Amino acid sequence: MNIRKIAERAGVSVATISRVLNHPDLVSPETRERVYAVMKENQYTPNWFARNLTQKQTRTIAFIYPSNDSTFLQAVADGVEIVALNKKNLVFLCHTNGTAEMEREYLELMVQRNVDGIILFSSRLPQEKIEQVAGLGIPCVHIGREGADTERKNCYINYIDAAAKLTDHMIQLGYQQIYLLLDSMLVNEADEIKEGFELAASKAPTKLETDVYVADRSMQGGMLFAHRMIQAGKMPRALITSSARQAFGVMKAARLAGIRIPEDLAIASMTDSSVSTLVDPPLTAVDRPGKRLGMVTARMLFDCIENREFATQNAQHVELLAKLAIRKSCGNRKFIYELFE
Amino acid sequence: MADLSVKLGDLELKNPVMVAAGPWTRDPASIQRYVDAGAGAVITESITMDANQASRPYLYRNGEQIFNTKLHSTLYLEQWEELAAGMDMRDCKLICSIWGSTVTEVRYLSNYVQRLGADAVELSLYAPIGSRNQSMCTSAEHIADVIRETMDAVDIPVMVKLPYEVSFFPEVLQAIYDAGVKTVSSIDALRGISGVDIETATPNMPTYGGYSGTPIRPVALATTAMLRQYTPFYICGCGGIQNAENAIEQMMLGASAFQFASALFSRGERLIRDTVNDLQNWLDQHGYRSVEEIIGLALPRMTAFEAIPIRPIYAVAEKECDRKDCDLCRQGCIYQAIEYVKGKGYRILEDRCEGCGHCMSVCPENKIRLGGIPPVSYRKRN
Ligand SMILES: Cc1cc2nc3c(=O)[nH]c(=O)nc-3n(C[C@H](O)[C@H](O)[C@H](O)COP(=O)(O)O)c2cc1C
Ligand code: SF4
Ligand code: SF4
Repeated sequence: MNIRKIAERAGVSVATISRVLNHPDLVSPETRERVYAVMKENQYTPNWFARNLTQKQTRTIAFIYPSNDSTFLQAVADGVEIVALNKKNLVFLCHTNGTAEMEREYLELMVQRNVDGIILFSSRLPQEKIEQVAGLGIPCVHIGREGADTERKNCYINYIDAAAKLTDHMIQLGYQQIYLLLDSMLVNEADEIKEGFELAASKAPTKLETDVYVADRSMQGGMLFAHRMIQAGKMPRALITSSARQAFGVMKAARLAGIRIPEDLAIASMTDSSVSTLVDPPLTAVDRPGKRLGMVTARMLFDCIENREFATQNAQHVELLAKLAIRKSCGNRKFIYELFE
Repeated sequence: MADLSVKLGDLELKNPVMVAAGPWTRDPASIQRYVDAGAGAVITESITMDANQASRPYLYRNGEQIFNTKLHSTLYLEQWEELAAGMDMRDCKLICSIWGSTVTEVRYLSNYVQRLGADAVELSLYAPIGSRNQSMCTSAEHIADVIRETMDAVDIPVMVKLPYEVSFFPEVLQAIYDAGVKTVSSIDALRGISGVDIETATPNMPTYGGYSGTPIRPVALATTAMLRQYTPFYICGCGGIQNAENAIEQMMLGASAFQFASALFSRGERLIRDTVNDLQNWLDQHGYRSVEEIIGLALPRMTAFEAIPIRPIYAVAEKECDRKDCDLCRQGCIYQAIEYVKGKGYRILEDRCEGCGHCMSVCPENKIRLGGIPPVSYRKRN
């Protein structure tokens, strides 16, 4: 028995059934009674409408995330806050500098504060700790793909797809030597980026020369890497960096060494930045849906808080896709100045 | 009085008059206007996980041509939920259009709108605006995946908005059908650019837009006829429909219901009320007992191109004409088969005429028709 059949039998629309369950006061008493009668007759209990009201709620949630030094993370936090505000909830923004200790400390503080739910971004905590929180009945939703095989609910950007798209774009531009520069701070994302890079490279029409390096995600990290490559005479024809700041560092070092971008070195980044369009040439980068990521995660959390049955029936994992912002640093010569693919 | 109710897949509509997805159905209050005006079903503007900001301006109108750069709803899901609670759909069906970039996103959204009270979900597979990433039409398998997940997530019917660009691919249509979809809405806006200011070498609009309105009506009619002939889908005809007459054309080519979209920019919800009345009157005057009787009525009178009989006909001037000021027929004849003789007026040179039909279609005074037997010299050639 489903909602549509109930609607049919009661001779009303699905919308009316929904209203009877959510806002019975807005429905005429006769219709309401008829719907109740049909539901009873057919033993239909719409679990996912039943709000979980037994527990006292504080109308606060926690967003625990590694750092707030990127436009992307700000966009994610923004998305979380929009949904929370729509739900008349407050958000505790806790940033951990990417350390497990601070994450644990914040988590404990938040549990003591009786938050209604917690969002963990790229958590570094062991599974037991997370299970412990779950054991207290506090819903948790993760940002990041890790743990997708567990009971965890999570929302993540598909970095394999993003890296493959960006690599493929470079291949389409005709480069046969493409290197990848990973971010030493990232673990899971780095694996995905590498996987996507290798996937696209394996499908290239001609054999590619590829190599993978690791550097700090900062501009300094990019500069040091570039200096070393230039000195060793190993700078490739095309480079994909993990962060926009690495790319800016590489561009700076290249300029000092008289290497032209994109004529001698084509460059593109796995993350975008608010200044990507201001540097010369403008940086081609992966444009991640940060706000959407924050919003979807927050919604998954509120589904758990308000309505556990609906939450379990609905998605356990939600995957999002990133776009490419194709500018000039990759050597793109198409006429539209900034192209999103 | 003819019965206006129609069956649209698993939905029963009180009449075939629908409102398409777009900013005219941007929120529950706007939807309520069409419900009150008597629409059979209303489709929301496409709802997404994150509310899009509307570009301003987003509408570029050039007479009957309408271009837009508006992508998806500007309301957050929570706002839809809050506002939907106050809506009174009565006997009108609510269809929620949704868009997501991945299977999991679409699954989440469809479940959410079911909870909102949707009678059906419409999947927006494609938009003429924005990057290719916006499109879910990457492959037949992907589309099938999206549909199967959606079907699994909800109890209500799942419809698909089928853009013109996709309606040609039998394997995509088959995949959509096999995945369990019974109803398609077709067509979406086409991709268009309104023009270029050649003095400044600047396009009249900043990016590609959706092209809709009266000029795309023939495209929509052909798509409906084709879908009806080749697929078992129930069809919601959409594209360029301005009034009841256009709607009847759609239904006669196979649509079970039809949607108003950019015509609402001209006439608002009054269009819904008028169309319901006009349709009722027309059916009554023509002795139909049910609107369903006219579905596909014109299709048997269509002929396959290959089967069009080749008849030896040519242009015949039915009335004399001396309108040098018009001259359209002569100018337009690419076979130079029309000449103007001073004092005698226009003359058709039968041995040159190929019977193409241009002069007949272009003559503002209906002075030319096609017919007759070919001239001797014509028959002799070859
Ligand atoms: C301003 C505008 C916004 C639109 N937004 C949507 C949308 O959000 N989702 C959708 O499926 N179609 C959308 N459409 C397409 C219409 O629903 C319709 O398919 C198209 O305009 C063709 O019909 P018409 O020629 O009668 O306007 C939009 C059209 C316009 C003009
Ligand atoms: S039917 Fe065509 S070929 Fe013949 S006169 Fe007219 S325009 Fe010319
Ligand atoms: S198009 Fe008709 S009205 Fe015009 S010149 Fe030809 S015959 Fe006369």
